[in-house]
Amino acid sequence: MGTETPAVNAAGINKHFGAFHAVRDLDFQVRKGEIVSLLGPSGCGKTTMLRMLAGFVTPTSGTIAIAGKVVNGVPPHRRHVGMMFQSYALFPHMSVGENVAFGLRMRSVPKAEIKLRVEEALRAVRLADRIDSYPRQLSGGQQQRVALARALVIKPDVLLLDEPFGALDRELRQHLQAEMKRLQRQLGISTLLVTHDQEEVLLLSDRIAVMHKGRMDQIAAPEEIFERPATRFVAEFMGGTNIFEGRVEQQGGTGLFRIAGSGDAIGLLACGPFSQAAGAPVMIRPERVTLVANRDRGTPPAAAIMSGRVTEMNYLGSSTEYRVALDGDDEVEIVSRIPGLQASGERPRLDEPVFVCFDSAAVHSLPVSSQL
Amino acid sequence: MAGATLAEERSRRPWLLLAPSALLYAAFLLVPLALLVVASVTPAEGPGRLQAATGEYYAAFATDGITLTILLHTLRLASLVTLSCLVLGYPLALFMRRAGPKTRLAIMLVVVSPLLSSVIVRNVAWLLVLGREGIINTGLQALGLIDAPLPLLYNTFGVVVGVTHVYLSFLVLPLFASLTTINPAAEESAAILGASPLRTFLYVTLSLSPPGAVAGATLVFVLTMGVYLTPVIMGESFVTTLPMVITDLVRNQFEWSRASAFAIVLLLVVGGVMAASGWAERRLTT
Ligand SMILES: Nc1ncnc2c1ncn2[C@@H]1O[C@H](COP(=O)(O)OP(=O)(O)OP(=O)(O)O)[C@@H](O)[C@H]1O
Ligand SMILES: [Mg+2]
Repeated sequence: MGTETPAVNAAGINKHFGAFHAVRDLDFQVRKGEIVSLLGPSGCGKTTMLRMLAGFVTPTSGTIAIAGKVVNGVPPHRRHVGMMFQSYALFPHMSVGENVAFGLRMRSVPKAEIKLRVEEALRAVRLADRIDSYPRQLSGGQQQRVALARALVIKPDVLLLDEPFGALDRELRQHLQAEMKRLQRQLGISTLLVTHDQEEVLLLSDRIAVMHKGRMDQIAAPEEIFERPATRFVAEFMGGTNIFEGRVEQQGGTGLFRIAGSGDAIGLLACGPFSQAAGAPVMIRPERVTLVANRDRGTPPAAAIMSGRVTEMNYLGSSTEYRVALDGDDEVEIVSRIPGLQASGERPRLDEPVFVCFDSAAVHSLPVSSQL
Repeated sequence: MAGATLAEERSRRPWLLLAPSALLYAAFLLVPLALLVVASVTPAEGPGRLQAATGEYYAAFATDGITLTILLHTLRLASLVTLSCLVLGYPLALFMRRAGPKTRLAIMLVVVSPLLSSVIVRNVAWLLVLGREGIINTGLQALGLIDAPLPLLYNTFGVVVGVTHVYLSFLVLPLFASLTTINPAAEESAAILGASPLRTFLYVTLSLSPPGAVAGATLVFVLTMGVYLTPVIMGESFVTTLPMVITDLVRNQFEWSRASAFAIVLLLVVGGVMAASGWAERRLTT
């Protein structure tokens, strides 16, 4: 499997628009049959990268290979890739059937075969009964599925999707995401998905490439990106709000991390074997932080690492988010997200003193970053 | 209650807005039109002529071979002008769609410029270009490409050139407007689905442009059906159109009734053309 030619191999890709450096030294692969997502904030170069794969934008430098063939200089219509645009871009003057048949007609597939394959593709997206409708007679979600069928029917070497669910409301979006994942698995289509939606990316991707200002900060499996972000930017982009600057002091077999607050430093016992360069931050995901109410000034539980006071409580439905100001320095806060399952009596209340608990394995060390 | 008042106000307001222009149209379009209809059925002479309506001028138009031939010539001229506007206008509109805003504006100004200059100045300029001693003929002769001057003026060709020059903008602007409504992603979709640039143009761009082209072509056709001065100057007596005949009847022969009947016929033909194009446009857009 490791020796199989990847669907996409991008090496050393750079793109300049005049003096603006939109994409910097990108290297990545999309392996056969997997979904890779390009994730990043607006303007980080995701669409530009996708359009370079499609052939609409010429890279300033670097090599792009699709299914093992270098395609630099090959125009879009000879690349055999599928692409779905955010606006779907169906042909308004053609019926659903004609839209889906277009790519096959361009490839001079025999009429009888076109008919079969179009019907098959429309069945796959559950729109077989709308073959004679026109795009304007369809809902947004249906149009999106036609666009998907149109892109898939040519069995492309790679499917490129630019924010395919952006224009849809939440419920429909989730439905279509599930549908799209099912289809992708079933057909084994190698896919590159562009998005800036963290939820979507975790649901759909085999691997996630996080982009930031034209660079790729990290490309890895979702758990890896979520739990062990490679840079502070990735950590923040994936919602890791507890990031602390500080320094490690050795104390016997364990390290002691001092959070550099505005005033005095706060001792934080971190028993884990994490290496710390000077000034490097650590991250603790809010889901990994639990709170125990310290109502009667009792003894702290074993896992307690710090103590503080609840300053903010946000009910989020499936969970509740707490902001805790740490004792010793009001400026330093830690965020805890506790699932709604916890018995309400045990839940900390606003302004209440609490013990802050987390496992040392939850502490993830980030590299010293030049950015941000 | 408040909602009802608002609704009432809503229904009244548009009519108020319409009033000034409605008055203008009534005074300068409907009234003259009514007078024209009356004149066209009024016998030219004889006692009690105002009581006896007659269809003789319409009958004369329909049975007179010459008037029918002239109508056909007028239709032919309008068709030729429309065709030449389409041939020139399509590439221009396509280019404008791709051009930057400055180039676009420059082209628009050039295309509209004939409308801003005097018809006499424009036509005299064409005489200098297309005439026997014009720059084209003298140039080609100087290069030894032709022996005798080409007949570029005082024929249908000259008139088509002159009229196309003025009316090109009426085709280019609606066509350009309709081209800008084509989603560029639709063309990119075609490319990514395997269509070469030529096929993308044929199957997507060209296939989506007819609404604008039909609107523009109709304007040009209808305007050309009524054009008068340009054929007079550039065609002299060699190209005769229905508006020229009508003008002649009024100015030289004082045949008001006949002229009115012919004008009504011209109006009906133009109306027919517009109805047909409206139908075609609806077919194209639904
Ligand atoms: N044709 C172009 N000319 C000049 N600059 C461009 C061009 N295309 C893109 N850019 C710039 O390159 C940068 C990256 O654009 P790109 O569209 O790839 O961002 P993106 O990551 O897709 O953002 P979004 O999430 O908003 O879609 C932006 O700053 C954009 O302004
Ligand atoms: Mg984008």
